[in-house]
Amino acid sequence: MAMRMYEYKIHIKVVETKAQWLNIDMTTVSDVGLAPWLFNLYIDPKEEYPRRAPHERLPRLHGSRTQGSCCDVQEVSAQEHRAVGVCD
Amino acid sequence: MAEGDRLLKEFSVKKIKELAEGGAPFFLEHAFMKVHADNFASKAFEGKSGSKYPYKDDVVEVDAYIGEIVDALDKAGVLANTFVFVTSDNGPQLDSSPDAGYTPFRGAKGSAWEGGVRVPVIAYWRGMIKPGRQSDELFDLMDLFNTSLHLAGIANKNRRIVTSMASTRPRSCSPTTENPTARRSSSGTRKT
Repeated sequence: MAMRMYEYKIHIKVVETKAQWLNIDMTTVSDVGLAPWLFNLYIDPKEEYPRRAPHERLPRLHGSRTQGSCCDVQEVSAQEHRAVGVCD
Repeated sequence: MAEGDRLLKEFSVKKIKELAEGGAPFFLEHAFMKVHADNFASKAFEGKSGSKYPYKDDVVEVDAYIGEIVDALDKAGVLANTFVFVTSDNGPQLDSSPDAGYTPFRGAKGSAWEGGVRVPVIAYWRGMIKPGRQSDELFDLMDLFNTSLHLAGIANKNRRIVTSMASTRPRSCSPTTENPTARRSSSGTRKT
């Protein structure tokens, strides 16, 4: 069970595949107790890197609008800047 | 079974001609059986993809039929007034893999991961949508309901909570607001 808003996606009830087994009717799944899982699909379209908050690795997503400069976060690569498009 | 899509295409082509002659706005949903299950190409398309998988032949067949349906709209004189929307209702069904669709995302049909819910869309509207334009706007198939009503000039008088492209892009997608007769039909094709 998941919801999407803009580039963000939140899985409220997380179910992980235990055995793929054709990926549909025969698949065995198990609940993951810890939820929600949050993803930024622009930088993580394969949903491999859940974070506590969508902007965890990209604080400029908040900072760029409230503090003026989005380029203070040096660790953010140029590629990610282009992917998110907030630093044009 | 293998000839099913050919028969459905012939039905839609015939229906488009009838509906166009009627003069009223119309909605047509053409749901393909192929690129789903079972994947057996019709006689005319066996081996046409050059692949050893029937699924790939089906892709060629479905592509050809969409072309014939759009051509039918053109011949009926309504293509300029028709919104054509080609999409799928879910990610690939991998239980028939490798003779199946493919997704680069996590998961597949039956899950809430992107592989299950993210699908491609081709929207065609002559004179309204610039060819080659790409969009990552969020869209759900449920939006097609209200969008189709809007394009046909039917108002949502009861203000029911349903969304459409019209609600998010009122100017670019609401020609009927200014000219109720400007756009009068819509056509959707999808894989079931």
